[in-house]
Amino acid sequence: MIEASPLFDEGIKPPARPRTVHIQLASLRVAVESECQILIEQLAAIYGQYSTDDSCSGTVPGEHVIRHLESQGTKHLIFHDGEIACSTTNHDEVLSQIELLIVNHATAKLREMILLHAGVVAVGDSAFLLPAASGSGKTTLVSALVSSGFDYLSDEVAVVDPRSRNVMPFAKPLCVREGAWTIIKALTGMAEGVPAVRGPGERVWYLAPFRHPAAPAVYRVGAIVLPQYYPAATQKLTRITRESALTRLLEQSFNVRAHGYRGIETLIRLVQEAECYQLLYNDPAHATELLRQTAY
Amino acid sequence: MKVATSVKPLKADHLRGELLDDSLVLYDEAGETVHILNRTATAIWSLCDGTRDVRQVTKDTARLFGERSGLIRGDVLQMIEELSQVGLVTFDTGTTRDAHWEKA
Repeated sequence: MIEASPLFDEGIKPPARPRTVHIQLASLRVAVESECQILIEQLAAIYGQYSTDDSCSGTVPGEHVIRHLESQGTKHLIFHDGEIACSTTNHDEVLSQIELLIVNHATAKLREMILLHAGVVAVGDSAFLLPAASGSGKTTLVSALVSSGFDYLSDEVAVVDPRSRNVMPFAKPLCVREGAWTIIKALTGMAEGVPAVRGPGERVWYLAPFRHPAAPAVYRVGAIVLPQYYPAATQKLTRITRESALTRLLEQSFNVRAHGYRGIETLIRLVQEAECYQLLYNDPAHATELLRQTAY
Repeated sequence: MKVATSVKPLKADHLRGELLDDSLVLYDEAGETVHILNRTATAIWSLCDGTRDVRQVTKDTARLFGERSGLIRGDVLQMIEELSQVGLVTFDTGTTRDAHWEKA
């Protein structure tokens, strides 16, 4: 005779079989394991073609492991390579916490590269860097540009090789804040994103990174564009001094200080070799037309 | 406090620089900071070679820009003060830092 476990009598669910999604972001390969099928499906959806969803658990050599455990139905624990990385009592925050963990770990693996806070799109092998602070509308502008035919490299991190000054894709999921979601839906025609909560009460949507199968792996920086969203502005794209572009790149650098003079030299060469503009815009769709004129 | 006109400002020796159009980008290896000087600041900083005193730097700056020394003296003094405060110039050795300054 099989007796019921006392744990089950207290209303705790029996453990389900964990599922795994394998994700690649830049040089990072990570397996995320969870018993929550919806979470695995959401991760597979927001990483799009950069993920594979396995029905059974298991990792492959060289992969890092992120494990999500739900404790007593109220607390969510997230482990990274066996050590606890973060926790939350809000189920809706789990997706954003895991996504942030993946992005942070992927950028940590790129410490040999210069990392800039910038959206990046490309035409052919020529990249457009859009360095700007958080909340300045980078994701919205990048979405508009990609919808009009530009290739997607990143909505937030430009990865620059200091040796070649080429920029590489960092195709993380696009993270869209509530205010921009309606605009992006209209621009991209995407009906659905994956909703999540990030931080205390901030509602966001994740969109899978756009991918172009024939896209090259590295790009030269053809233009540096400082985007500035002004609702009441006259829309215009104007050339700026290389000094202004350099100042913005320095302001929006994550790690140039760690590279010493070599990092500064790389940024100087970038602004010398690229066209430098300021983009004042109030309508992302029109802004793409202005940028398109510089691309061809 | 104003810098004394008799002192001889000298470019700091822990800097690496690169011209960028009309500007000069200076990297301070000691402080790991970057300074971008405009054309005027670049000219004044370049004249700080430890042989010219502030009076001479003012005269030479005036000559470079086709101005009269008397008209730009205050601006040059202020620029040298700022360059000193951020560590891009030092003053001739052998005297204490306080000796380089005089009360306004």
